[in-house]
Amino acid sequence: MNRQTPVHNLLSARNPSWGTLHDAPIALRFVEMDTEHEALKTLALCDVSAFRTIGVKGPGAGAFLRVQNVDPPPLDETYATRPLDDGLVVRLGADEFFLESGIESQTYDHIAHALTRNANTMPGVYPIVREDASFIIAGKRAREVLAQTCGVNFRNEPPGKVVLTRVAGVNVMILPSGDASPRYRVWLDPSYATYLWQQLDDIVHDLNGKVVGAACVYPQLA
Amino acid sequence: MPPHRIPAQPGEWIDRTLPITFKFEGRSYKGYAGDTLSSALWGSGVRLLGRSFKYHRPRGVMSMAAHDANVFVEDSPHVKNRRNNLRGDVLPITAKLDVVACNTKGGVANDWLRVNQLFAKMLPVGFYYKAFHKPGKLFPFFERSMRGVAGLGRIDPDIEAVNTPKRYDDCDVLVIGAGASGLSAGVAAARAGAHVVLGDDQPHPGGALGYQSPLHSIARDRLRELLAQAGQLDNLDIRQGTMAAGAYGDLWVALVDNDKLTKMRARALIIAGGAFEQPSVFHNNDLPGVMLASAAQRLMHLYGVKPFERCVVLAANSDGYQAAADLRAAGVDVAAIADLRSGGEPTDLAYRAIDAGIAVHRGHCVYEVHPPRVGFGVAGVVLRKLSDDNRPIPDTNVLIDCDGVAMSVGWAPNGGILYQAGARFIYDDQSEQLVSGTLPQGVFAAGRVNGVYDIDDKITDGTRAGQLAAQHLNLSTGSLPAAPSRAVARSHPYPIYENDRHKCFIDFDEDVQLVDIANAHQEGYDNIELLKRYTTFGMGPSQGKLSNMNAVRALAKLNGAGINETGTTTSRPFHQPVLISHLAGRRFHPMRRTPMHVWHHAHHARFMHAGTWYRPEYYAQSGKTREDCIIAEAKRVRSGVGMIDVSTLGKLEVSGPDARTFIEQIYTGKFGKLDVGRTRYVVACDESGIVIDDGMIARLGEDRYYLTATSSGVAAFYREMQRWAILWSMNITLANATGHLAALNIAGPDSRKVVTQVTNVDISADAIPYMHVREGDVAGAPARVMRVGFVGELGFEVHVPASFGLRVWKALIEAGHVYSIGPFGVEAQRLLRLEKGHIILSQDTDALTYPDEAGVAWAIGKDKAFFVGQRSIDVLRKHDATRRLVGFRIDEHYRGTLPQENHLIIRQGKITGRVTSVAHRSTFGFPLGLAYIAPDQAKPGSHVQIRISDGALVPATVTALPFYDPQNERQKM
Repeated sequence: MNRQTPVHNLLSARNPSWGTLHDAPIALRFVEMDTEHEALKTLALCDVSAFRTIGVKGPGAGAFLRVQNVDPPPLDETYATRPLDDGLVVRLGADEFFLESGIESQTYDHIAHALTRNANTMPGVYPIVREDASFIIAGKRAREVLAQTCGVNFRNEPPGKVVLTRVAGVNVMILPSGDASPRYRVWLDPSYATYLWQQLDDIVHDLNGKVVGAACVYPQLA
Repeated sequence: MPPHRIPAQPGEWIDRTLPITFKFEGRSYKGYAGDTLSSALWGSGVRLLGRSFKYHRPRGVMSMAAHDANVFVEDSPHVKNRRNNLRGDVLPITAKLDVVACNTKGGVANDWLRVNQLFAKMLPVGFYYKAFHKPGKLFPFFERSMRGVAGLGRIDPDIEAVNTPKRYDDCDVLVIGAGASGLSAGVAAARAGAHVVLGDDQPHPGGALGYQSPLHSIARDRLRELLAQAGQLDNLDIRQGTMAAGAYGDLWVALVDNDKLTKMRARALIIAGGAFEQPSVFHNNDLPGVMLASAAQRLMHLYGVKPFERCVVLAANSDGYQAAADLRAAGVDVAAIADLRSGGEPTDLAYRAIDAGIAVHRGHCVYEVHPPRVGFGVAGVVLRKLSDDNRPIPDTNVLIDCDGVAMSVGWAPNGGILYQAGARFIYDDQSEQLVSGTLPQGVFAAGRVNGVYDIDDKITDGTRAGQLAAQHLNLSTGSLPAAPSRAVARSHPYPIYENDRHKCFIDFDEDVQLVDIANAHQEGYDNIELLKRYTTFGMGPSQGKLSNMNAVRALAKLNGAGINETGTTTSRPFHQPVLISHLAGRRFHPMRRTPMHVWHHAHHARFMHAGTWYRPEYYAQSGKTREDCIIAEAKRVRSGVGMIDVSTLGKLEVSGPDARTFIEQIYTGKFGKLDVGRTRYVVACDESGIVIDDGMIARLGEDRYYLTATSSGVAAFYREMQRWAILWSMNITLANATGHLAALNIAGPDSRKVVTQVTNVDISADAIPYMHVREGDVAGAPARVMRVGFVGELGFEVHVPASFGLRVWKALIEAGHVYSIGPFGVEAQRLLRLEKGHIILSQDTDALTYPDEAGVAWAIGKDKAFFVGQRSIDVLRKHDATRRLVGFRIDEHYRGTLPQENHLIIRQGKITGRVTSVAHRSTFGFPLGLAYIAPDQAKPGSHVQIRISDGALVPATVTALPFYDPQNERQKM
């Protein structure tokens, strides 16, 4: 395996069961699956940085994606998301998109390949290296974790639209989802990943939550 | 039942089934669960609870409302994680409580600093501004002495850090205060559909309903009704033990509870925090046993404590008469009521007092209080008749033996949060009180802050405020109840009585007396804000809650002005003291780590902070000093191969049709001939020609450039680029990939042999000459490989996506094993570049350095049409240069103390420059460095002197740069 998530070392110390995703080790499970599923309902923290991410910027970025048979959010829906197979595409601005692979990621692979292969030959379409770390905060008490770290009132944020804000002083992008059992995807600059993970882990621990493996969130990884 | 306790009171806060033993000043006392330290001690017959700040006078209960700043305690010295400056009047007792009074030497009873009272005449207001500065040589003694006796509490340096949560929260309506008006406001707003949070600093709801009139069925009934209504509303969240500590812009309020600070953002704010009862000012008004009537009522009704055995009530309103009735009901012998009003009490409370046999002295003040000959407290009071102009008339003394005085002379609104939220207060002559005047949008007030005191009026006022808030949020419409009137004055306009024997205290926190106010005024401090700072009234822990109003009244009288004309002091957060641990919260200090951080840690890196990054300063080796390790790392690079993690470098991309024009204008150089695949050193300036960043530029495609920038400056530089891109309307795309890319610099004569093993890029000298870039694969990662020479040796910089960083690093270490590759840290890199004469921005430049001074004028393109800072540089060049950055060396046989960075270059006693970089050891053996010096000293071979910290002068010789490889042959290998 060539890649490694920025919190790999922190997770290793907990002796998880490892799997592989996109050429990177991914922690699948830390304790019994039932326990992790229970935590997922109340409060859980999960590292999913193994998913690959890329950015595309430039006046031709939207057209490029459409040519690749991707339907990005329209111009008037900044911060909206659309599925990209089992991954997603986010419109971050008039000429800027963020893409994340899913587990299968055929379309993502196709786009990433086209972008890197033609990086210097597609006027108006510029690939942006994105190596975002990505965490999931999930469960009924997930909002309390964010309340202790972030000034955004997520009660008012619609699901399916990312929020650009700061968590514990780190610039992040958060995608809220779920209602009865909220779930938040958090993306951030990988150089801050260890710091933010430690902060979130502390708070989750104080709130009687648990760190869970990715198989708990994505059963197909198990 | 203990002698100082009274039978159970309706709604009392103590649980008499749970007795608790605790310690104060090393002695054990008994109280009940729910007691505070002050109530439990008073209930045990203890009258001396603390000492005052300046004169160390004995003090007891004054407010029982979190404002008793003279009853501050701290954990006993043997207690682990000692807390300090705990307020006794709100500190709950527990079985583990073991505290001593703050601010004493020798214990509260035998505090020898009470000797200060003997020197009171030598310690007038502002004495520390006038004394101790002569003779100058004694100042350290005075300073030490003052520091020894000043201040409150002792910090425990060994205390363990506490991780206190700090959280954000939101609501539609935030109500402060759970008394009659606050509860009714919360209910009204919640009934309209608002999500309401109600914060109240007391452990139980009810406010004054709980202690001022609990014997009245109407108060009990109203409280029961309000709580029942509140209990039915799911959208009304009542938080007891939660105080509003500060208000900020956009209706942002800091709520503090026992565990945390909550940053509450509300859409509407209702302040119903009530009012603070105010003391009267007379001789010895601070003795233990002289207290506010509301404090006596709190002791009785909330804690079941008998405040006195025999007392005098000083009244200027109905509340005083009610307090007298309450005291009698509690078994206290109320010897007299001194009523400041010549007309006395207009309600039937007056007849009830007389019927009860209480002597009512209308138009009388308490002129002075006498302490007992032995012990602490009150032995008796002297009443005096008041003249028509409110002056005590001599020879009208009425002497009364008693052990306490309950003062009920008026109220001041609890308006701090309202002030901070932008409200303005005006003095209402009818109620003789400050009341909320102009309120900002979305802010409402109810109850006593509005001068409304009657229970039903407060409920009406609260309901009105709740409905107004709901209407502000468009949750309801319709008519509102009329605002209640405040026709009856509850406050006396001037309850202040001078006494030749002084000790008439305006401010108990800081021991500010009435005479201090008069003296300060005489010295010209006739403005309330200046007076406050000069006398320090209102600057103690209670922030003037019991003193500001009397100080304002006193100054107004001295100025011959009204209260509105005199003004009030400014209220700033925090309204009440807040624990530092609450403010610190979880202490979020984001720090960045490179993808190779774990490897560095495992290989004994000693980390340093470089901006927000952790970087290896050097790698520790067993048995070697820091300097030895650094020199060894540097020598390895000079002789073989070393590798440094440079992931912290700023990494930017500029793409688009206007990319070249943009770069030409941002940087000083010319890039017309920068072909695809080439790199170049770049310098950027601001509009004033000051160097703000430097780095490398690599042309990746026709309209694609990759730039590096300084590690700590990239964020600001990227913002600057974005600003210029907008101003110039450039068709470009910018990206900051700093954290998303790992970067490694492999340097040394063997570096090519190492890199070539793990890459498919042809890195031969012909294929990738010095200052060129190629893209390809390195150790399985997509990479950019650049030929660089920052450290003055053959070198390659490899940039890969962050997730590949550790793998690529390990692969290169493995590939370099046969060449004895090793890591080198920031210090070795600094030494190597210093030997090469390369500058580090911000270290060898400052906020005034332009390119010519720093020796990088060669990076300015000639005949350029424009670049940022060009015009300023042209202007600067027309003036004589004042300094030049040069190299210097110190003789290798010099054995004295060596200079450090920022030591000064001295010529004939005058400063001509400063050292910017210095290496006490170099790979050549002798010390060397960079320094700014006067241009006429800059010629190589010139001798200069550097003054070090002890004043000695160190000789140095100006040396041509670079020190190492002047022909630049090694980096071009």
